[in-house]
Amino acid sequence: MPAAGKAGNDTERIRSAIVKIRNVSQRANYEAPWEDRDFSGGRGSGVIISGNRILTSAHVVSDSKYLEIEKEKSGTPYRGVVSFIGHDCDLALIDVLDPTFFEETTSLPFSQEIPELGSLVLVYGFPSGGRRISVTRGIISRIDYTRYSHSGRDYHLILQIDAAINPGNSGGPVLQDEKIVGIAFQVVKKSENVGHVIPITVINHFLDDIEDGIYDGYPDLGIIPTRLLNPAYRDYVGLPKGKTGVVISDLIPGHSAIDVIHPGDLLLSIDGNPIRNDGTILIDDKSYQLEEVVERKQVGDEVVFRLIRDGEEITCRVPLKKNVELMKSWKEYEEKPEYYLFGGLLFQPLSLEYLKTWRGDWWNRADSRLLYYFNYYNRDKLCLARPEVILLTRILAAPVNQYYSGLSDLVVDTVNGEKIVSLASLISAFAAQTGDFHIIEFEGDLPPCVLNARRLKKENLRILERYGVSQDRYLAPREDKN
Amino acid sequence: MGLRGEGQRVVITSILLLLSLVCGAVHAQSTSEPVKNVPVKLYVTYQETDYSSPWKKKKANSRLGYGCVLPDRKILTTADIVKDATMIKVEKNTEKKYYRGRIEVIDYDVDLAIVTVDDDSFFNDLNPVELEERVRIDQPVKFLVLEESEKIRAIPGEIVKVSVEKYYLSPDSFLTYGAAVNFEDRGGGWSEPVFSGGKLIGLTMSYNSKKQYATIIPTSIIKHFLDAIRPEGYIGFPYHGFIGAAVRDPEFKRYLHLPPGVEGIYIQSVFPDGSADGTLKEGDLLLSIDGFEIDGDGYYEDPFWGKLDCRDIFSRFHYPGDTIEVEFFRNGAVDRKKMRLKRFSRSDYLIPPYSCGSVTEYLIVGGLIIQELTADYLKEWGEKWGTKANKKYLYFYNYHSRSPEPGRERIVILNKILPDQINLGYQRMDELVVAEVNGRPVSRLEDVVEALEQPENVHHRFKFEEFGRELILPADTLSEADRRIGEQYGIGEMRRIIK
Repeated sequence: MPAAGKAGNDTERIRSAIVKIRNVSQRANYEAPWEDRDFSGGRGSGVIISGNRILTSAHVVSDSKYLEIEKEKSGTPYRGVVSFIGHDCDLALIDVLDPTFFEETTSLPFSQEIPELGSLVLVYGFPSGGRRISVTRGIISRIDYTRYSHSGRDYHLILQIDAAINPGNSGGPVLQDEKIVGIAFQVVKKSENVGHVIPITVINHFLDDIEDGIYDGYPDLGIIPTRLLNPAYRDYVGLPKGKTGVVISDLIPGHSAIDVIHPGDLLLSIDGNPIRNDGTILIDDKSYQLEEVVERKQVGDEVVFRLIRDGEEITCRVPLKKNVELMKSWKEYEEKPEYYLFGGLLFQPLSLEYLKTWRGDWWNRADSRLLYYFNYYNRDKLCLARPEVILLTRILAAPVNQYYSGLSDLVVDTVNGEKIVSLASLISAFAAQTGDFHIIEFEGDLPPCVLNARRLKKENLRILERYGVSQDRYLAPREDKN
Repeated sequence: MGLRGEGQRVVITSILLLLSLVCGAVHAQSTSEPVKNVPVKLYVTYQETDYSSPWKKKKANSRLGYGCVLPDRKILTTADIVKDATMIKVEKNTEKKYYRGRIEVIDYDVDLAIVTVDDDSFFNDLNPVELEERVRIDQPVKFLVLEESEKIRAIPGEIVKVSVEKYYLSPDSFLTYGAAVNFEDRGGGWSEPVFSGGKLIGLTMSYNSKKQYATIIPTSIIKHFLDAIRPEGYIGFPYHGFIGAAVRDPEFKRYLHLPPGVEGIYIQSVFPDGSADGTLKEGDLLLSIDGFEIDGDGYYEDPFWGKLDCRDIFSRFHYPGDTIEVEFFRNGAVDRKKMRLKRFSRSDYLIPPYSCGSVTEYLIVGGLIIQELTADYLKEWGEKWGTKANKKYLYFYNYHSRSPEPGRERIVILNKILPDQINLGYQRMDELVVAEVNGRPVSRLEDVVEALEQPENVHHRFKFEEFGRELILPADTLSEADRRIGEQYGIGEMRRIIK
């Protein structure tokens, strides 16, 4: 078993690589999307790595308005800037513009090995309850996949340690033999003394990803495989004797495999790894979900499948593309909420952040129509008719809309006869109207909303002023869909 | 009763409580003759279906309710008291003896039932009640209950509201009285007969002890219910069969090209095969029903009570089979048409609002429990089912429960799978909507039964809506597996289908 650390000067040296981070952040406000919420302060830890860069957890520095970096020894805070941030992997890099900051510091190297189960590690950081550095000893108790709760978007590998990770520890390095084996980042609620650490594989993925100057994130295949555990199913799909695999039920639009893999395809192997009937593969004798192959790749790479389509075994190459997702079903940071406010009518796309405005157990409390559109967007192919689910979220009361002021949280079906498929299509449907009325129709048994077009145009500016809305809209820049 | 002004009640509550108790006692005595031997008590043992394991019944339970005697030696009570009954015992205050009761007519929509007693001598010393349809707001009334000692007790209350409200089980709304009453620690809402001036004015439907507020099924609904019992059978209440919306917005009126002074409600949707189908259309403005003018909020002027929701016209004044005239505004002109009224039928619902009184159909095949989605199935999620149940089901229940579409009369679901070797690998699949079986689209449970008669080669293929997932069962060993699963899980009937 490797030694966890040595006493003396080495510790001094390591300590000079650990920094304290203070972040002043401002969250977006999805209830009043034209304004931000109040400022709040947060703190965390980081580690200096090669190239005068500071690695930390994304959640320590997200939605940053002002960032301060401090070394343990000097009492002077330095101004920091987030250079790269990956919310899905909860990692970020910080630059400090003043080069004198890096005097009398050291950078720590990475260990390219995943530490052994049961081995000792040291957690460095500046947790709450004191000003000075804290070092905690822990052992690796599990290596597993778990949801990265910062964005909640997907599952990645984690190291679980039996040392507590406290607020302020986040972003701090976890060391073994004086090398970084991970970044401390989250705790398991309701368990005592269990901390999660981002392992080297995920850190490498992040650092490789940003080499071209842009963080793309993890590409997804977007395949919905059905396991072939039942012999009747294997017989039905005609899986040849001696072969194993899974059958594709569906594909997610906007993900990499959508036009390449077809429903009904029988996937036999991925990058040469045979797919077992339960959808797993073996890598280095360890069992993983077949998506693990993609987990280790970047946008621009490709994945090669052997599959049976229409009775014929063929090879299929899937180029990995950046995901195009129009329903934001994860926690968003840095992003400004999209909206359009017209005549006091507030339109917003359905998203996780919007549903969270119900607070508490929003997944039960939010309106059941919205929860259905959210949860079954891909499952029930609702995405085809409504790539963006545009809601009339509420109405800022004004004389022109006074008969409709009670309307809220409805799915907009058409505006002036135009099918609404995005916020942009809604805006242009309003703009194109030359008649007397704007007619808004909703999904479900609801009467249309009829508004006087001339009065709406006239009153629009006054409504914006009265409610202190500086901009009537925000639309995020769109990336190309190829 | 002059003391019972609103202001005084707030200020001197405790004294008034005492006073009203005294008043109650006084009234019970002073009117003891006309309400003699009212009410009778009903002890009901009932057993509900376990909708999440539809071959099973839940634990038997019992409830107590009241009834009153009708002129033709029958007992009137609420449907809520006798629903799902396995046995009914009837008791009167003049004799310490139970009589066997049986449901003769029950209408869950209007929450009323007629109970007969096997031994006709039960009625010998009981006086039938007289019905009074007219009750004014602020009128004092008495809720009659039987004490443990079999003493009749009259609890005073006061009518505070006359309106058209949703009934206990039905999604339809009917005339309802609201009354301020305090049942104190005994609780209430168990069909207590309500009297005024010695005549029955209604039966208690519900009681809210926090608000000290009871709802009452009015005598006019009771009379209508009794009149609907015909020699050919019970014909029920008619159902309007459309969804209307209030029209106040002048812009909306201008958009409809409505001439000034014309008022009515906007027809949002018309239920297929319902009363309004073929008469009204989506986008119409309904102006009058059966000669009663309707205002923009959907009210008509009742000669006695004043403004009431226009749905009352259908249910209170008419019977299924009647033809009435409706006046509506369509394409810039006022038009009139005859509308033939039909009974409300829960089977017209995509998701039936209640299941009591009908057999819960299901099919267990290869361990797959397949049934039709109902409101009672959703209620198996527990007290907070309205937020906790499956979100897709809730969406359809909340927003599309009345709208069966062509090709989708019901939502047929895979409830869960009883694990067995035949369904290896599928066992975690549950709460999915069945789209197809063996390539045949599924609109009702019967479709599944029929589709299973024609396997695809040697397999049965179930396809679900969610991600188009499929589930394959072998056809040749299926009946053997069903036998095995039936034995293993102690299921007597593997299917219950009413053709």
